[in-house]
Amino acid sequence: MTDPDKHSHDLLLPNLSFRWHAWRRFRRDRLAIAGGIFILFLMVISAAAPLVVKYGTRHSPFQQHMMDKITVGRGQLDVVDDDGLPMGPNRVFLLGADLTGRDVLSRVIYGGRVSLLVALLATGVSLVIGLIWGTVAAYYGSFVDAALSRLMELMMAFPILLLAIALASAMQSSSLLVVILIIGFVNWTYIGRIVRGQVLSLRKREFVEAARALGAGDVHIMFRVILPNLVAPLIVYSTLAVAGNILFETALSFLGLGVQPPTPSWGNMIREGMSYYNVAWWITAFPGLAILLTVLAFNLLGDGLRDALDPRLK
Amino acid sequence: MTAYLLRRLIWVVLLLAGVSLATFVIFFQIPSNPAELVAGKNATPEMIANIERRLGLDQPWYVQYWRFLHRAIRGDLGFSYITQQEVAPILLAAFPVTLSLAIGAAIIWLAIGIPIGVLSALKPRSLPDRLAMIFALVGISTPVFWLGLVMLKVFADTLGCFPLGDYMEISRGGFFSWMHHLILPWITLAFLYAGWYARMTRANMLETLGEDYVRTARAKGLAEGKVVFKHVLRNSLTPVVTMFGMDLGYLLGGAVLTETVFGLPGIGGLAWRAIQQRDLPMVMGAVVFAAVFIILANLVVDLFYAVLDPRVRYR
Amino acid sequence: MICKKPFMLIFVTACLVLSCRSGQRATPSSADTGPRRGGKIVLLSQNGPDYLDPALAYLSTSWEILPAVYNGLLSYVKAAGAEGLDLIPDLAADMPVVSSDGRTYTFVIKDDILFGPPLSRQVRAADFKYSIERLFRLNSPGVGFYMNIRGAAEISSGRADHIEGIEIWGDTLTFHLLEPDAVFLNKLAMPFTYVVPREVAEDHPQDYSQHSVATGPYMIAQYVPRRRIILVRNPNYSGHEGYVDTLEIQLGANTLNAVAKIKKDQADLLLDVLPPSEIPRLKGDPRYENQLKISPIGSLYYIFMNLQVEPFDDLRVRQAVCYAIDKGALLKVWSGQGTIAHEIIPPEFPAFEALNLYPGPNLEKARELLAEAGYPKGFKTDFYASNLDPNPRAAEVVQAQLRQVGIRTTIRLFDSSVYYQLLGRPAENIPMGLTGWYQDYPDPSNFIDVLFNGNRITAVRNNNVSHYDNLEVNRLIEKTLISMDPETRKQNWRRLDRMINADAPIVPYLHFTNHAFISSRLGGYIYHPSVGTLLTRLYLKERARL
Repeated sequence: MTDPDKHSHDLLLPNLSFRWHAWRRFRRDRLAIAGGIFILFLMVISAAAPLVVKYGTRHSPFQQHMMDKITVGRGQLDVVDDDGLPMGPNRVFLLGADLTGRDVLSRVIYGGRVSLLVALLATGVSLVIGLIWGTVAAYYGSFVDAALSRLMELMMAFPILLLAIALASAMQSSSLLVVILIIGFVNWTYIGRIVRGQVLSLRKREFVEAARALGAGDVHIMFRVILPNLVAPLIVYSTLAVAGNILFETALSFLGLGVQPPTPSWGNMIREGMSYYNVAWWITAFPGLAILLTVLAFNLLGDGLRDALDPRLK
Repeated sequence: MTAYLLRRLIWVVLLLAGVSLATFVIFFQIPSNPAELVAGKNATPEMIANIERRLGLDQPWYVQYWRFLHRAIRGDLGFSYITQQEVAPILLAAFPVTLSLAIGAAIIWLAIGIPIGVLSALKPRSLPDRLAMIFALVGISTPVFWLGLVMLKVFADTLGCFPLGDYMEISRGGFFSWMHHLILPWITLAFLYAGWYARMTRANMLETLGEDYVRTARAKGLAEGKVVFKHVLRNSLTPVVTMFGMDLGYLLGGAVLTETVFGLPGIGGLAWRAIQQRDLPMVMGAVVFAAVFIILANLVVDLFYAVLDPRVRYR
Repeated sequence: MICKKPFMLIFVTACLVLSCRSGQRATPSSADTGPRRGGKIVLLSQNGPDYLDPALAYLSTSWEILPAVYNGLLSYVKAAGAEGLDLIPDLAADMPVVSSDGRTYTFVIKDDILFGPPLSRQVRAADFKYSIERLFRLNSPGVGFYMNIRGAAEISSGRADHIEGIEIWGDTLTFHLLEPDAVFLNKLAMPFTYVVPREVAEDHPQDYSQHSVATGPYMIAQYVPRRRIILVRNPNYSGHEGYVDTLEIQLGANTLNAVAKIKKDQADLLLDVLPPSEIPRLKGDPRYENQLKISPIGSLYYIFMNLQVEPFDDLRVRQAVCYAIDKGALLKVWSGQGTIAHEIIPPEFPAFEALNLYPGPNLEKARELLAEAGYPKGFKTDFYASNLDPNPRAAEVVQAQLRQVGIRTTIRLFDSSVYYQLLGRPAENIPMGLTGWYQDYPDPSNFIDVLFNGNRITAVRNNNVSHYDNLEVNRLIEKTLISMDPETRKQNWRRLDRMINADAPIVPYLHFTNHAFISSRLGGYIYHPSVGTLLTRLYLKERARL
């Protein structure tokens, strides 16, 4: 499980019967199916967030109710009282209100949108860097591999979260794009190592030799011959990487360096509510729970995919 | 062996230089004049120019970096721009906190993660195995800073069993007070890692259990307990030990999130404050300090392998 | 359930071993039978003082500790509220003789004051001169207050070793000023001028905080940065201040733990600002009714607009912002700690006069003014704030309020140490943002002159962040500064407050009030509006015999 080279052989047969067997195995994994369904559900909610908020929660995630009162039961209550304490979960605000009187539920829904988007795109960035690095290093071997490996060792010698924090502070803007690039950049080594291992074991295989004998160029071999064989492991590890990147994004936002307010993200919601965690627990509890469930779903799906695509580990 | 060690050590030094250089370059992008921070609220431009000269800030970045390297070799990491105290002693004072956190958490996660992994592997797909793996998966899926807050809310605030964060030195509060302050952070951090270790132990065990020599041992009629403890456990724990070395190396460089949530004055919290305050000498010190542990952990793990497995040649 | 067992086991043992102290331990009630000598009190602070060297310290926590250890020529009356704003002689034998032109101040020094051990020598006039010159040698943050002394510019630029304008004749000390200055004596009551013995300071140029020797009722027995400060009685002190024998200041504990400890009487007072989340809890709990102390503190929180940046050069735009802001919401963001501000001068100053030039929020009026100014649909701008809680939240609240009149802001947050540095640089062209001001000395000049005098705009460390420069206002400020008549000054400051508000360079929104939570056994708590908690007045109440 730790060494990606280990199960390469079983992942290299993208023929029909393999896919069918894999699907059959996956179908039996109820937890993985549950994870997949939860992710689909989350994606639908995220895509339709404006509608969900308009007709479902009926509160805009941005609308503050600092000075408003609402009727709950018999009494008129301040959404945020004179000492700055917001109201907890009730019939109007299902998951309570945050410190500026915004609906926590609507913000969790919008926050998921941002957290998912960042995690998916950041994984894409890691994938691109990791693919190029891993393929080039393993394909050319010797001097190139040695040089590139040294580069990765340098990268891995950094305390990774500190590196991300430092990069985020050095960038003057914290736009979504910057956050995505930073997360993608600091996490590419994981996928890079996997790709390198896979390519190393592939490049001496017959079909690669055959392509070379037919006069194919390096670039053609790397990306047209070898790459298609990497699809299965990459799906597995990308799914797991998404889980990691969601945690990473929320950690950055929690430290105030990721997604900037008033745009909600699960991490910055926890940051904003942190100073009141002891009296207004609902502000931090629900986004945290959302992170936990989402990351869990991706991990379940990733595990299921791996088991399905690599029967040896079951 | 000596030549190999020497080569490795030279590489360690080069890596450290690389890490510090990269950090320095990243930080030079931030437009901030430390001299103004040092000068205070009522400074005149002349005073600021004086301070710039004193701190060497009027020099180009490579000169400043060279001076940093020059001093760092002698263990002098300079003075913090914010507190104007020497960086190295501050880091050393913060280190016991990080060490306490990392070691305590490590003991807990090993004590929980490995037995869970072993027992799960012995009865794969049984109910306990499934429950254990879900527990492990929840562990690796939980954001550590949030778990910290939940712990604080439930056990410190509502039940009042533990302090609401903070650190207590043994020398000041005694062993029990020290432990009392650290239990929540330990459990928080250990919950995350125990998940990883349980999963890894289980996977390695399952793999080893399928190996030929284990089947042979069983076929010879060896008692199951003996098979497991003598053959399987030893072989399947080697990668776990590797992992442990690396994880510990990372943690000794500071657990930023855990330290922030629990208000522990360790290396991670220090580094995080320093980055926010644009306190370059402090950032450099903390990053290099953390990198030393990561790089050394790698080295130790490699050597450990070399000793353990004679097949690994010293390249 | 193989997984849960070890987990639970460790947990249960831990809880048992360390004995859960759930809930409140009942504290024996303490009767307050007046000040009592003896005992030890425990104070808490998360970050502690920046320095214990009076030349370098510039945090309110430091300024609360320093008066227990050091003395200056003058001090404030040790009382809360407006009563405490008067100056009295401290190490000076009497109030100084001031020349008729207001440029010369002559003090006579008390002749029976000894420095603490191990030095134990008499304090001389030369020590005061040395202490002020030392500020310039150390690039103290306080030098700006003393530039009006003749010769200060020369020592500051390094052209002189001594300040020519401070003369010593035996036990008299004479200050010669360049310009008359009605608040010069207030500046001499600031900790910067506390007297420091030359021989000790020169022996410890780097770490004087650790070796300080001074004249106050207490001396520093131990100072471990980020850990603790222990103050014990100074045997050479002959005055009457100081009730308890020992003051222990524990550093590093976070504010939530501090409150929990004070509830159990394990500590007596938190020197830092109370965590805002604790305020609703403490207010709502009848047990702590007498332990939550609310005191005014000369301060102003405001939204500034930079007149150098479009469109804030237009008065109507600035007024529109004034009308758009709902100050009540901002007060809630600060957990109700304070009173809503419409004026610059804090309410506990005699010159205070209530104003409300822009009653609101009045969004209609704001939109009208924006339309008149040529922005019927509003405009875009950046909004700056420090990342210190609850500033980010306040920024979000202002953002939402301005959005209602079409002003779309992008929030930019910075660590507080970096933020105030950015604000001080006019070249940054920061359009608007949040800031605040705490008095250095209790006089309106410290607000109106420092924050709104157009002649005081500097290239770095600028405090006039609105870049407000009104000739008429500048002239009246300069005139008031050199006026020695209290009544004229008072009337002028009032007029200036109104004039500046009419130009709307800022939206004042809050006069902060200090909320402190003290233990049930602590007596003598006084929060001085300028100094803060008066440590020398604290005592332990008599334990009620049960």
